[in-house]
Amino acid sequence: MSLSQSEYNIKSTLEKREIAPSKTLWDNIQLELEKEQKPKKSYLWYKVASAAAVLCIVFLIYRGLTGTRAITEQFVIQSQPAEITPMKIETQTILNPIAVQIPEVKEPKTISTKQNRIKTKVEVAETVNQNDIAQNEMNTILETQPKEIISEAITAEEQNVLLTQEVNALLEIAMKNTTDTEQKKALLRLEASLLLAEAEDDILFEKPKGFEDKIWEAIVANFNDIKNNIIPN
Amino acid sequence: MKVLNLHSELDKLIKKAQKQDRVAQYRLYEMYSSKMLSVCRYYIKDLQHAEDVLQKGFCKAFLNLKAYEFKGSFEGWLRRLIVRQSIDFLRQKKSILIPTDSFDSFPIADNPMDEVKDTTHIQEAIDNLPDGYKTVFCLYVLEDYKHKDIAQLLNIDVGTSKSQLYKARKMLKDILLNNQKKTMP
Repeated sequence: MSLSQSEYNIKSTLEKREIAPSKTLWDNIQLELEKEQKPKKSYLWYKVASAAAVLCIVFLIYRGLTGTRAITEQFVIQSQPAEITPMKIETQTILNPIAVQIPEVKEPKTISTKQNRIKTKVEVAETVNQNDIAQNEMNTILETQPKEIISEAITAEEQNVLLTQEVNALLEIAMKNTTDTEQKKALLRLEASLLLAEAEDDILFEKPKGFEDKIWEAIVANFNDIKNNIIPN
Repeated sequence: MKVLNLHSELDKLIKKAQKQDRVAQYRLYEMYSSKMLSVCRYYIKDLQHAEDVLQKGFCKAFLNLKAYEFKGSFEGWLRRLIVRQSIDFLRQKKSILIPTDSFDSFPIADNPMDEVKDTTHIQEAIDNLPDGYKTVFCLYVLEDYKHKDIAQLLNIDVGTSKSQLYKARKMLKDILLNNQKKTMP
């Protein structure tokens, strides 16, 4: 079917026609466009946020599933410093079981030095898993400490002898009471380091008394004078 | 040369409008809104409703302007969009009730419209057609759609489209004859 002449006329007449829309129509279009575009942005934002939340949840679930494995690994890591710490203390304290004297140059010369040394020994003993007997012995040593300090402050030789005896006793107790091979090894290493310290002491012992030693002796002498004056009162 | 310049200017304007440039969009609106409202008016009797359809049509056009690939005229692209929007409006109103009667061939109805040149009278006559007839008539006569395209667009058979056109033409003829009689002294 084709168009008749009349239909062509209608078409051409109507094609020329223009109807002006109302003035507010553009404002309405603009408002609708802004409305349509805003939700899209927020929708995108929601998408991103939800994706991030899902990722977080997945990560947490993954961590939860592998959590037990992570804890065991942490235990392994924590056990390492426990093995190393006694060795550090060994080298710093340089305790000699046989040596007659320990060089005072390496340690601060205060009245509480002895007490500190013993405390460090207690820590060493604790780290090698000492049993209750050893703990009790250490407690008794600590309780009797003030008296020893007073008496040992008089002579350095006596002080060092006592120290070495205590250390030897502690080591023996630790050796007896420990069953763990690793701990035994640690104790053996401690003994070895003590032997080294002994050798060092032998060298240092031959040195002449320095200015610091003289000061220390003076302090001890003064302390004894004060003590003698106070105790009778 | 002037035609080429106009084309390139229009393309620039469309490209800007594609980037949601409001000024460019407004310029396009100014250029085509009157023509497009006339198109809406073919299908929708009420001018207010026609404006609503035009508003939705322009919004849709600006939001989907990237779909225009600069193949064919922009006016044609916009016009097709507005026509579809008008048909959607009639569908929502459920006013397109096309009977499924099918005819393979229809004679061309004699039209008393040869002398008709007044758009108001023509539009009034078209407005008096039922929406189904009117839609097929406007698509075929005014928009140059083929029966196949009309059938696809309105989801009807090709035969139904033909029958609707025949009936529309016949009815329009009667309406115009009656109008002529009324105006005759």
